Parts: sequence; C-alpha cells; structure tokens
Amino acid sequence: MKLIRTYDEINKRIENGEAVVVTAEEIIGMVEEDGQERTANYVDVVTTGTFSPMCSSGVFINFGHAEPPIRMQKITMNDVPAHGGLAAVDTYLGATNVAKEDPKYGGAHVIEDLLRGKEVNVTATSVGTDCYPRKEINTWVRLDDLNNAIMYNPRNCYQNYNVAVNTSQTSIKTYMGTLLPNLGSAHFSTSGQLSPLLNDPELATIGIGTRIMLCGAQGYVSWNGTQHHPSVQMVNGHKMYSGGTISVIGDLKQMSHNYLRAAYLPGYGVSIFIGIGIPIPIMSTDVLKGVCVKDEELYTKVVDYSSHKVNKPVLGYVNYKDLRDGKIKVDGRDIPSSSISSYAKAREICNELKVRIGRGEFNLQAPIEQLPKETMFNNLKV
Amino acid sequence: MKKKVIITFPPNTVDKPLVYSLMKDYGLWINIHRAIIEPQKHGKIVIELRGDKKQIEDGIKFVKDQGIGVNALEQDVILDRDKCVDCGVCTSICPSNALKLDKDTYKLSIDYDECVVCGSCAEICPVNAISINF
Repeated sequence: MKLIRTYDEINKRIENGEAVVVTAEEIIGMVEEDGQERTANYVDVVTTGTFSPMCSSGVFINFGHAEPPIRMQKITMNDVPAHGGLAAVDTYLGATNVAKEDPKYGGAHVIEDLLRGKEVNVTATSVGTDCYPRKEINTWVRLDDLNNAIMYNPRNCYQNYNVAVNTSQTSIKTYMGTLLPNLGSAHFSTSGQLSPLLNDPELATIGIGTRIMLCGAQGYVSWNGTQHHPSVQMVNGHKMYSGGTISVIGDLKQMSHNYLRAAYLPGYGVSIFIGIGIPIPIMSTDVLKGVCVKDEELYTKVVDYSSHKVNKPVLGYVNYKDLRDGKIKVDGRDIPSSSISSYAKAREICNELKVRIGRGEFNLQAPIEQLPKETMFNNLKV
Repeated sequence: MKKKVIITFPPNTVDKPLVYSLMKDYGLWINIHRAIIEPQKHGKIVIELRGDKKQIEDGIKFVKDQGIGVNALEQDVILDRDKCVDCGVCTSICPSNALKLDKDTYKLSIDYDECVVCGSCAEICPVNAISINF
C-alpha cells in the first residue's frame, strides 16, 4: 500500500483551509472522470454518513446530589425506567426502555425531549443509608441542569444490514417496520454508498479513537460495537462486506435534535434515529477504492422475517441501487422496497461534516487501535 | 377533470342520498375510495368526482349547501415536515403509490391525486409525521 499522505499532513491542510474535502457521493463522479490514481492525489478527505434507527443507544447521566442526598435505586425519567445499578446519582437511560403508562414513549423520547430543552420529570426511591438518608425524590430537570449527559451507544453504524421481507400470509411488525404479507414489501436500513463502514470496508481508518460527528457533536469511536463480527463473501462478482459495528461516545449537550430523533415502530417498540458522520482520510489508493464504491456494487441479503428462528432463511441477494430505486426481484417476483434509514439525512450529515472540516472546525484523529478482525459471535444456549 | 375530496357528514345528514344526487342531478362520475357511515354518528367519505369543471363546482356547492363538510385531501392528510426524517419507509407500504421520495433530493412528498386516505402511512410512520383526520 503506497502512502499518499499522513494524518498530520491532512490536519495541517485542514488548519490552513486548504484541504480538499468531498462527500462519499461526490467522489464517485470524480473518480469516474479522473480515475483513482489522479483523484487520490488531490482529495484529502471523504465524508460518509448515516441516519438510522439504532436501538443499542443511550445516555449516561449524572443528576447531581439533592439536599439531603439520595442513593437512587429505582429511577424513572418521564415515567421511563432508567438503570439504578450505578453510583448514587448516576444512571444509564437506554433508548428502548418504555414508559409504564405509554408504550409509544420511551428512553429515546426522553433523550430527544432533553435535547429540545424540555423539562423532564425525575423520580427515584431508595432504601436510605447513613450516607444517603433520603428515601424518595420527585423533581424536574433540564439538560442544562445535568452535570453530565454522555451518550454512549454500545452498537451503532452496522456495516451492512439485511433486507427484511415477509413470506407469511399476514402483516408482521418488526424493528424493520411493518412488513406486508406474501412478499408485499421489502425494507432495508443503510445509506449504502454513503454508509461509513461500507466506505471503509477493511476498517483501515475507522478504529478506536476515530473522531466522528455523533448527532451533530464531535464524538469518538470508543471500541468495536457489540456483535462486531466482520465478514466478506462474493456476490455477483462483488465483495459483500458485513458485520462490522462500532460503539460510539459523545456529549449529549453538544448534540442537535436535527440529527437525533425518537422513533416508535408499531408492534415492536421504541428506537432512536442516530445520525453519524465519519471522515475518511485518503491515505492511499486502497482507501480511495473503498470510498468510491457505488450502490450498484454494494450487495446485501434478503431475509424472511416471518421465520421465528434466529438464523432466518436467506431468499437472495440484491444491490442498493435496486433497493433505492424502489423495486427488487426475489425469486422472479418484483417487491416494492423502501428504507428505514434516511438517505436525505445521511447526505445532509456528509455535507455538514464536509463544511465543518472545510472551515477548520473538525480535524482528523488517527485510530489508536484497529477494530478486531476475529471476534466471537455465539448464540445463547437454552 | 377529476377532483378528490373528503366529505364529512354531521350525524343528522347521514340519511341523505348524497351520492345519488351528485350522479343524477350534477352528472358526475363517482368513485368512492373509503367510507365510514354509521347511523347517528358523523360519516366520512373519500370520494373522487369526475366531470367538467362546472359540474364539479356545482356538485361541491350542493353538498356544502346541505350542511355537509367538503375538504381537499391536503386539509385532512397532513405531512409534518418538521417531524419527517425522509426515511421513506412508508413508500413501499402505500397501496396507491402516493408517497414518493424525490429522485434528486430523496425528500418525501404526498401526491394527493393518488392518495386514497387508507391511513397505512400514519400507522407505520416511526416519527409520527403523518396525521390523517378520518
């Protein structure tokens, strides 16, 4: 692999306002015109982005101590249970926890309400201890009142994801949305040619410590995501990468509700749309090869979600161009397809990141360590 | 020309043979896409009127004169642009192809000429961006 430029050189150019930054969509046309070699010589950074429901998300919160203090054990925020198993006034609010009285309102909605500056009701009970005598509390907080609100999402940004279909004779309600019976609809969930981990298929530049844009704030890749299990297989002459995931961290107080949105999927429950932008430094022509990938070269598998098995039947392979055009062919049948991930938002994120790098507000951090290649992916024994 | 409207009957008007009058007295072709009509309750019909411009205008005036509400679909099927994230998951669920992502901007829009007010989109929208008054 021939090194074209280093992180230091790129950051110097960003600092001087000289860096050439383009989106993962723009690079496609440039490479078609100028070829890989030439394009790699003048493009410094390519921005990628995604905006999808990502259930494995949540926020660590520190409320601060009340007078007299309480060691919070059972905690709710707007009636949504938050974790009470940490230190006295620390909690983790998971995005998918739901309110006791309203199954359509959950942790994701509390997070969005906080971000929108709304007051949130906090209740907690405790057995009471010598050091924390208070036994209950019922109060209101805003995001500004919280000492810390640190988003930490154990699994985001799936490299590639199934297309969900339903071969049964009734509609089924899933985390991929409501799937119409008898192969009536197909739902997919990545931004394809804009998707961060599909643009760095070998995970050469996205690793632990990579600086990212998380819901509009500067954040970081903190580790590999849970279930991170990279794999590659050949489909129709193209390498189909899948299985990579990242865990990410960032300050909720710096985020924007424009890039985070609570979601409710009927019959499934609450989830959260998370917007992530990741810059990819063009260190070599190998890295460039990854970012100029097009929807028609990116494949994924069509999976029958009407099966109740963990390993559901795979009905075929399709590319993201057909998926995005709204029609795929499975077993010779045309199926209408739609995405639960927003391409318009992903594009907005790519553009926003491009602008910030261009203004010198965002520079690149080399990964401290690569993400692991060999990982465990076991089923739970029953 | 054709025009699609939502007609809302107050409870005391449900027994009027409205569709018959529109056909016989105003010469309109009628296509009913969806209807809820129950005795003693307000009724609603999504109806497509076909005829020339004057026939349609006169027919709508006649309906309004009976004390019955006539709304354009735009008034009763509302896409909240502030809430919508343009994922477009609704586009494959829509039975009449009324919901589309623009080929250039990938932003969602409703084609009211195609919409049949079935309500599927409002039911499945993950961010509750579509509301239907039916």
